[in-house]
Amino acid sequence: MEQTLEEKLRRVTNWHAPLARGGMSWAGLRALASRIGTARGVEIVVAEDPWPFSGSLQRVGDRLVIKVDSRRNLAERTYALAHEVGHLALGHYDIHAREVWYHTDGPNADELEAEADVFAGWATRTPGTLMEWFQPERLKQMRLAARRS
Amino acid sequence: MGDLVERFVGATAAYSLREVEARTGVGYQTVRNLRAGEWQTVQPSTRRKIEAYLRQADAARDVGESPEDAARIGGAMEPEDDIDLPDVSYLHPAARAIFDERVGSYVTRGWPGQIISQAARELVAAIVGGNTVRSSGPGKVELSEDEQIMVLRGISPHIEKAYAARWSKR
Repeated sequence: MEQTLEEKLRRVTNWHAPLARGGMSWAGLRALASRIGTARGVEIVVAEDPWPFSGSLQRVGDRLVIKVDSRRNLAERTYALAHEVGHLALGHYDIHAREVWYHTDGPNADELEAEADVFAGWATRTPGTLMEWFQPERLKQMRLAARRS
Repeated sequence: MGDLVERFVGATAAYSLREVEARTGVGYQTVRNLRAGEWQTVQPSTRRKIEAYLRQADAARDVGESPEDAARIGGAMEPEDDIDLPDVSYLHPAARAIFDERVGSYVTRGWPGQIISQAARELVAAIVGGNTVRSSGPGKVELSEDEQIMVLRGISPHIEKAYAARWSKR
């Protein structure tokens, strides 16, 4: 049975404790990406360069490369990385398929993008706001806000 | 064909599947099948690689070299075989020049055709994918020439890291 976003967030937060605290930094998100890669048997590389997108994820050889636009400020770069890591953490892509470019597509594309934004907000939120973020109404508001933005 | 495969299997018996793949360009799963006697469905491109390797091995034996030494010194296998490049008609001129230069360097360095094909697709994946993403929003906005160049320069080092150590012969 398909998990709700709340269930997926709970599961990944139980798996990676720093998510429960929030306020994840660039380094913390890189560590999370590395841990996801280790768990799923693929090397995940995070790189900052001038890039025409805030963030992207693609395959190069046997690795997954997350690129973040280095021209943006730290907060934007951190959020972009959190968004891409969110796609991986929430299981949006079959990373063992040979697809080169990972992008959300199809009828659920908006939903998956909104979920990745919710994850990014969850991971980078001000620490100490644990309980309210697991309220379903709060999650619904976040998802709607992400779609509107 | 059976004799050819038998000679190839014999000539590479001392190497692991992955080593044979690295030395000959024949995929390790294909090598496993050949060693198991399953050669009936060998593709023409694979046959050419087997023949090229055996030519190297024969020439090397005549002069007392290993096949790898022979390939490195001058009788290279044909890395241009089966290069299948993606459509790049959408690349602006300066970006196209960079793409051609990169792919040309892969050929010069002796990467197998299959690897060059894959690397070429990965070079432009963000451009193709980016156009897809952008065109899904309001209005169609493709990447500009500067943005295409940005992508090619940004992804090239990762392609080098992923493939050069294993496949570059010169």
